[in-house]
Amino acid sequence: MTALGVSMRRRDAADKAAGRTVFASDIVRPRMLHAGLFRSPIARGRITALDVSAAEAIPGVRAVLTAEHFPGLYGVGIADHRWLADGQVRYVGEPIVALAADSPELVEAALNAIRVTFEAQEPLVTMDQALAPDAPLIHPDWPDYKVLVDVDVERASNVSWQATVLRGDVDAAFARDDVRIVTTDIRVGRQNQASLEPRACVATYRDGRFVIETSTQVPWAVRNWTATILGVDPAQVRVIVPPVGGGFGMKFEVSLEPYAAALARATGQSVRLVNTRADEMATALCRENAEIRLRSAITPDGRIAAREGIVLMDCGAYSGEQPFLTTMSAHTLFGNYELQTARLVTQAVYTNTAPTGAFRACNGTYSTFALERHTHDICTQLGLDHDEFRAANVLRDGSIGSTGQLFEGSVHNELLEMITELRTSDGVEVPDGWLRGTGQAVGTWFVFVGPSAATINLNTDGSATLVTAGVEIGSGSTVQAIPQIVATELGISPESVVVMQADTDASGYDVGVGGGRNTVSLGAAAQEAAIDVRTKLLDAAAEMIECSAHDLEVRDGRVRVIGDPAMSRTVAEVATYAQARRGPLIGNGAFTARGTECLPGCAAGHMIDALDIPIFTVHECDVAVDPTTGMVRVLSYRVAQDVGRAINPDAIRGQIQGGVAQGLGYALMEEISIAPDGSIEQKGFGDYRLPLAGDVPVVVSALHEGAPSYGPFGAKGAGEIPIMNVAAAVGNAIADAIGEPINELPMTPPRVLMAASGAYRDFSLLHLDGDWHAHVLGDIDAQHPRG
Amino acid sequence: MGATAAVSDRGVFGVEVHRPRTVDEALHLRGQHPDAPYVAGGTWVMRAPQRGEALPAHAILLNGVAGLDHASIDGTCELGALVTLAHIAAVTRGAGDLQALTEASSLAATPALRRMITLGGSLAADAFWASDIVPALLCLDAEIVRQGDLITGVRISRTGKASCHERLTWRSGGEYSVASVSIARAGDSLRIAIGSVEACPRRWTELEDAAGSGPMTPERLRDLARSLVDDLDAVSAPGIPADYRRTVLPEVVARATARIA
Amino acid sequence: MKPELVALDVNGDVRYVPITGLQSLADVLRQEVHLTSVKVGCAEGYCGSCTVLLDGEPVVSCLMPAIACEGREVRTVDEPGELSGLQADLQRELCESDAVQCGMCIPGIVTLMSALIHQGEIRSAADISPALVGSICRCSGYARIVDAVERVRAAHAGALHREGSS
Repeated sequence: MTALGVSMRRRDAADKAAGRTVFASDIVRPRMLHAGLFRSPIARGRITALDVSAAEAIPGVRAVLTAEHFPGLYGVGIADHRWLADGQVRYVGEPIVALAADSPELVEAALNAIRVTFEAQEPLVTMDQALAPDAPLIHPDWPDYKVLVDVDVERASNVSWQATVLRGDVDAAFARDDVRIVTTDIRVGRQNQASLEPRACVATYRDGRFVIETSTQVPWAVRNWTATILGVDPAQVRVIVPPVGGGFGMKFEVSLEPYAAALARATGQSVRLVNTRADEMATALCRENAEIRLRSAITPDGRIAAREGIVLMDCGAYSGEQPFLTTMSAHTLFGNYELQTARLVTQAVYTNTAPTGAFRACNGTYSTFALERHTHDICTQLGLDHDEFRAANVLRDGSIGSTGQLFEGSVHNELLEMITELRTSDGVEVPDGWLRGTGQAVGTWFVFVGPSAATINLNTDGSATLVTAGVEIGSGSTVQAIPQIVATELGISPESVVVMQADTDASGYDVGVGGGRNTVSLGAAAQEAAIDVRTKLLDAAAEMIECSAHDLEVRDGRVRVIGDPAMSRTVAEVATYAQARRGPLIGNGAFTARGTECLPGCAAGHMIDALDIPIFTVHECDVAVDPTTGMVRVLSYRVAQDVGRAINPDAIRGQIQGGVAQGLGYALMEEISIAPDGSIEQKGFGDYRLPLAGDVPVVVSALHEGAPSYGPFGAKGAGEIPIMNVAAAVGNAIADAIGEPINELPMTPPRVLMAASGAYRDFSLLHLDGDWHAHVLGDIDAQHPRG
Repeated sequence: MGATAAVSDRGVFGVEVHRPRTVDEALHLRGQHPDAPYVAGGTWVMRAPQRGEALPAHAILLNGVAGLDHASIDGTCELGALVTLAHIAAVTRGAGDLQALTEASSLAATPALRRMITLGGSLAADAFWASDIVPALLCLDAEIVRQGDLITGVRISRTGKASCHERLTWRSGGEYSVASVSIARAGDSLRIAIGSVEACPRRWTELEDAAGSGPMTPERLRDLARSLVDDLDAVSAPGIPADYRRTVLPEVVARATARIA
Repeated sequence: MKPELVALDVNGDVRYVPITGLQSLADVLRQEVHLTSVKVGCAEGYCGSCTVLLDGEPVVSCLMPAIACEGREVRTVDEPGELSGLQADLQRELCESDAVQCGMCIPGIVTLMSALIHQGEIRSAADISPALVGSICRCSGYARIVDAVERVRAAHAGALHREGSS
C-alpha cells in the first residue's frame, strides 16, 4: 500500500497534547544562565553615554556585552543591520546591551542598573515622513552598505530597495480613447505573527564551537548569520532545532541567537534568552504596513489594456526581508490577470519603527486585497459582471505574466468552477437588521524553491533514518508529509522512517521551512535520496536473488520479483546482506530551483524574475454586517486550492482552516498602530486581538490536483497560501453588503462604519499622487533595456 | 529607610508579600504600608507591568483572610470580598432581579479568569474602566461593606424586579467590552449604569432622568441615549476611537432595554 | 527580595520550593518543578496556555501569585488526578482529529476543557466556543479542537446518562 495521498495522523501529536514536547523555550542546561536585552526607549537618537558598570558590579551578573562584540552587519538584500546599536538607535526596542546573570531576577536588576544618555532626534514614523524631500537619512551610510545579492538595484536616501516592472507601452494604452480608467488606493497595517512560543534559544560554547538550540525556521541561516554577526568562522556554529511552537515567518531570520552565543562564549556557561510577549509585541518582524495605488485601463470588451501600480512597503529601521519581498508585487499584485501592458514600482522604505519581515504569504496577502478590491471596483464602477470579468481575464494556459513568464494550465478557471460547487444556501442565519454580502478573491502565489539536502540511512532492521535540516514548525510537513514521500519510494511504512531533528552538524544546507517550500524542496531532496538508496537496495537484492535489478520492486517492506511475489526478501534482509558486503546503504539527495524564463528587460531589482512553481487559489465567503456597530460576522467560508498533489489531504485541510483563521484576524481585528513616538501601541493580547474559537467558521475546501509542478509526485506548497486571499474575499463581501468600498486593513468595526457612510468612496493617498514616473528612482528606461 | 521607594523596580520579584490571617491583621499591615495594595485574585496587580505601571514594593495578600468568602442571596444578597466571579454567577443564577450580576460575572473575562477574579478586587481596581461587575452592582444599587479601608463585601437589597447586563465585544468574548450597559427595573423607573465608555463605570443618571417613567421601549431609550452621548467623556484605546464608543453605546442601551422590557 | 521556601502540593507531591515576591505560579512550576507542560504564551491571562488546576478549578497560572497557592492543591496536565480519564479521552480525540499543530496551546486547552466538562459547564456543542474565549490557538483555526471537545463531551454525557439510568 502506498503512503501517498493518505491522511495519516501525526507522530508528534500525542506528546504535544500531553505537554511532554520540549520546545526551545523549555530547555534547561546545567549551570545555565539567563539573559536579557536592554532596549532603546526612543525611536531615533544618538547614544551620548552608555554606562554598564553598575550592572556589571551586581554579584551574579556574569557578562555585559555592547556593540563592539557584534562587529558584522546583517541583511537579506543589504547588509545594514548592526546587532547591537552602535552610537545610533533607530527604533523603539532596538537592543543596545546584552547581558547574562544567574537568575531572571538578577537579569531584571542588571537591566535596571544600565544608564544610557541619548540625544533624541525627531523620528520618521511614517513612510510619508521618510519620503519627504527634506527628510533626514535614517541610514546616513546607506551608499556604503554592501548589496548581498547579484541584482542591479536602485536605492537612495530612505528607500532601501526598489523593484520595477515595465512591459509594453503603458502610456499609449492609458491614452486610448476607448478605455475607461479605474483607480484604487489601499492602506494596510502591520500584522504580528504572534506564535505562541516567542523567539527563544539556549546557547553553549564548548570545544571552541557555539552550540545553539533555537526556535527557528532557518537553522542554516542562523548558523551562517550568527557567524557573520560575531565575526567567527561559520563552521564554528552548530544549530539544533527542537519542535518550534509556531513561526509563521517571524522565525525566518536570525534573531536572538547571536546574543546568546556571544554571552555563552563570554561566560563559558549555557545561556538562555527568551523573548517576553511584550518583547514580541514591540519587536516581532511583523507583516509590513503598506500603501498601494492601482490604476487600470479597461477596454470596451472588458480586457485590461494597461495596469499601473505604486507600492510602498515599510521595512522599519532595517531592511531585513523587504528587499526580497519587493519582488513579489510583480507576481501577486500584478498576478492573477492577463495584462496587455504593465508598469509597477515597489519600494521598501526605511522608517524609525521596528523592522518588519516575513509573515505567511507575506505581501501576497495585501497585494491580493488591493488587487481584488480593485477588481471589485472595476466591475462595480464599469457595470461589469464580476464572475464574467474574472473568468475572462484570469491567467490561463498560454498567458503571459507581468514579467513575461509563460503560464501553463488553466488552473484559475478550474478553481472558479470548483468554488461554485462549494456554495451552499444553508449557512448561519443573518441576524435581524444585519446586511448580507458575498465576496470572492482570486490569488496567485508560489513555492519558494531553493537548495535543500537530504541523506537517508537504510538500516539493517528495515527502518530508514532521514537526515535533513527540516524543522517541524507545527504544520506536520517535516514529521509527517516527508516521511510519507520517503516511505512511498522505499516501499516501507512511514512509521519506519525516523526523522532526525534539524542539526546543521548532521545535515546539508537548506534554505529553511517557509515560503511553502518544505514539502516541495526538502521533499524532493528526500525523494531523490530515497530513490538513490532504493537503487542500491535493488542492486543488492538482485545479487541475493540472482536476477536483474530491473525485474525487482519494493513494496510493503519486501523486495520482490515483479510478477512473482513469492520470490522476495525483506528490506531488512537485503540491507543486512548489503551492509556485510558493500557497507551500509546510504542515499543522498539534493534539490534546487530549476529557474523559469521571463521576458528579458521586464523586471528590474527583482530577486525572482519568474515563478518556478506558481500556486493558484480562489476564496469565497458570505458575511453579515451590523450597520449599527460595524461588526462583521463571517457566515460561511470556502476555498478551492491548487495543491498539485495532496500528499496528506487532512494535513492540508488543517492548514487551510488555520490559515483562513489567521487571515480573518488580518482582515478584521488584528490591528497595530504606531504612536507618534514610533512605539507600537498594542502591548499584548489584550489590545492585539487574535481570532478566538467563536470568530472562525468551519472552512469548506476543495483540493485541486494535477496542475504542473516539479515538486515530489507533483506536490506544491499547501501551508502558506491559505491565508493569502482572506482579507480580499472578506473585503469584497463587506463592500457587497454595505454597497460601498472599503480600502483599509484591518476592517475593524469603526472602519466598517466609516466605509458604510461612504468614507472610502474617494479614498486617496495624497503622497501617491502625480505621474507614476515621479515615484521611480533612477532612469526607468535604462533599468528596462528592451532589444 | 524612610525614603524607600514605594515601587519595585524589579518586577514581581521585588514585591514583599504580607499574608494576614484576619481583617484586623490586614488593616494593621495597611497602616504600616499605606501604599501597599490589597491583593486577592491577583489578576490586576500581576498585570501592572503590562499596563506600564511599576509593581508596589509591598503587597497585602488577602487569600488567607478568613470570613470574606460568604455568598448568600436569601432575603438580602450578601457577597464577601473574596468571592470569585464564577461563584457569584453560580449563587445568583436564576434570580431575575440579580440577573445583571449573573450576566456580568459569567460573561466577563474568561472561564479561568472568572475563577480567579474576586468581587473585592473588582471594586478596588479603581482604574479599571472596563469593569463589567461594577456597572452591574451600580444598577442594583449595591452597598459596599468596609472595615477600615478594606472592602469586605457588598450587600444588595432585593427589591428590584428585573435586571440585565449587556456587553458589546468585537470578538466572541475574552476581551474588555467596547461598551457595556447594566439596567435594573425598580418600580416604574430604571437604574442604568455604563462601563467601558468613560474612565470609570458610573450610573448614567442623565439617561435615567430623561427616561423618567415614560414608556421603556428600546427605540425611545436609544434615541434618548443618542441625545446624551455627546456629553460623555469617552476614552479611546488603541484601535477604538472615543467616538466609536459614543456611537455604539445607544445601541447597547437599546439591546439591554429590549431584554428587560 | 529573598526567596521564601514554601510547601506546594503539586500533582499530589508536597515539595518545598523557593518563591520570590509575587512570582507567578507558572514561573515556579516551570523553573523550580520543571513542569514545562505549563506553557507561557502571554503572561497576561489571555492565551490560556498556562492553565492548571488549583483545588480542582482551572486557573491561569501566569497571573496566580505562587505564594497564594500554599496549602492548596495544584494539578497540571501531567498528573490530572480524578480528571485523568477525561483528559486521556480528549488527548486521544485531539490526535485523531489532527487538531494538534505546533502544540503550545494544547496542554492548557486539555486542562481547561476536561475540567469544564467534568464540572458540567459544557452541556452542549454550543457551549464550547464561549468556553474557549481564553484559549488562543494560532495554528489550527479551532474547528478541529471544538470537534474533539464535542466528541468527548457527548461520550461523557452518554456515560453519565447510562450511569444515572442503571
